[in-house]
Amino acid sequence: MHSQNEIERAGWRSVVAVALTAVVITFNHVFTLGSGALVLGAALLAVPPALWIWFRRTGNRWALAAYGIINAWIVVGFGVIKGLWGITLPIFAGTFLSSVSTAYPKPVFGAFGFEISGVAMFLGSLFILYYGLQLVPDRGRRVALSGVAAIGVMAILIAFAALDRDVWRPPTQGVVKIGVIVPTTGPYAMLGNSFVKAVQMARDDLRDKKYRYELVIRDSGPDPEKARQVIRRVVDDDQVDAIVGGISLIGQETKPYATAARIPHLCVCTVSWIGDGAYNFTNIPSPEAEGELWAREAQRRGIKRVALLTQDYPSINNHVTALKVEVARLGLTVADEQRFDGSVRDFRSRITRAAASRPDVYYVEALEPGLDLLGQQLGDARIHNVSAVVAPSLSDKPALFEGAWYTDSNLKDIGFKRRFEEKYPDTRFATHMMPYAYDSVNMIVRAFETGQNPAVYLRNLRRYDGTAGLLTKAPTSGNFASRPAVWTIASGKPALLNQ
Amino acid sequence: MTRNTFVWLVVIAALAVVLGGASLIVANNPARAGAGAPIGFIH
Repeated sequence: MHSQNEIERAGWRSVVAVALTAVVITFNHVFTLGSGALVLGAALLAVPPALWIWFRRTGNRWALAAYGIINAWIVVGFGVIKGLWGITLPIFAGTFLSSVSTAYPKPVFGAFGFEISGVAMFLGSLFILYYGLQLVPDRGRRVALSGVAAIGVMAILIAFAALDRDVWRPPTQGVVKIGVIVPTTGPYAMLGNSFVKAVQMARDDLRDKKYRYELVIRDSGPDPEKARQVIRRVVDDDQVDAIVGGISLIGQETKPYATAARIPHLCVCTVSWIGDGAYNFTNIPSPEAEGELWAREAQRRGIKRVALLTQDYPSINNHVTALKVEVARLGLTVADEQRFDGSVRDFRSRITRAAASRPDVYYVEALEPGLDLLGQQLGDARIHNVSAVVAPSLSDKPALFEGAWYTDSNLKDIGFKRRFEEKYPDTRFATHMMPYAYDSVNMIVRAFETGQNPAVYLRNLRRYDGTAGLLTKAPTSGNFASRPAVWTIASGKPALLNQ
Repeated sequence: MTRNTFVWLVVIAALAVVLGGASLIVANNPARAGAGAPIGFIH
């Protein structure tokens, strides 16, 4: 039996442990609840000491019971469920298990402060549990409760190792549902619609498969906020088995939903962090690969001086950054660099300035309508030594860029483009994304046909020979890398050079 | 050093190891939830 003094001492230590853990819980919940976490924190800081003081002054057993219940709530709810299961085990056990087997996903972490305060929340709950048990007067019961807690933690560890593993489950009734989430309206409509057609063509081309493959095609729209609702419905209501998506803006929204549902998401996106190598993978040439090929082709053509005329826009800036690195590496000179706003319509003074720098080639990149206006005004100035990364293939009037050369996605199987244009004569073939959309569907199909969990299959996949040529992926990476190709505009249409 | 002090030192060291280890793992994870990603990219 404890003496009254011992209970008194343990009681106040318990109150201190609860208060310190309450501070950590509040900090942790600021990341999810915002200022609402302060209300939670205030309650956790005020109520337990009040109950303990009430008990010490009056000996009221209800006060002690309420104090015990709040302790149990903090230990189980915040310490074990959120702190241990949700944060500490993924950090330690999840990282370890994923390093020894690809059947386990690499854990994806949130903000640093959120994760570390989550671990601290679990550690704090251990102190609360320890001092809480000191309040149990009977030693035998105290030892028994400690044993139950230890066995509980061991059971949680074993359960985590079992449940964290991705296992193969045959598709329900032999039907594999593939969600197709891209914006088919708004500024991305051209890319999105041809993306959908490429995916449909991939499904139509399937022959003699073990399972039936259904596409669940949804327009995410261009607004990420609204896209979330569409993505949630595809994942939760349509219960898709995998997702193929495009456009980084939407891919970044799809990523957490795919992770939560533990289904693979193949995104034809250039933003590499979307591909975490756990459930999310990107499949498109990187800006670095485009820049490297562009600089090599420029060198091959004897180009020494480059003038850059580009719109200030994230993906274009990424191309320019990568290109400048490669241009410098090969000893070429950026003779003039001008970055303009998307609202610019008159480029004549900029063209004059660029011309004064006597470049061998004008590198241009912009979104519509600026792209075609720039092309028109370059033509008016009798400038035809024009080049780019991707841009001419996205132009509404590619004839304005007649003779221009540029890098874009490779098409190992050029017949793919021909078949696409025959099948969908009213849909423009957006070279930059289509072969990757087609290959992405086939990767998922191959995973199911070989009876493997599709996410694990993609984690293990190192090489894939598809319509876009050879795709490769480094171990643990979430980015399928591919080599772009050099294209030109001939007779008003994109054509692969050296084909 | 009393037994009590020794126990507290062990406890503090264990806490430091756990929190320090977690910090290293989280900070070095390449798949962090994409903070700082640019908005408005096209593809």
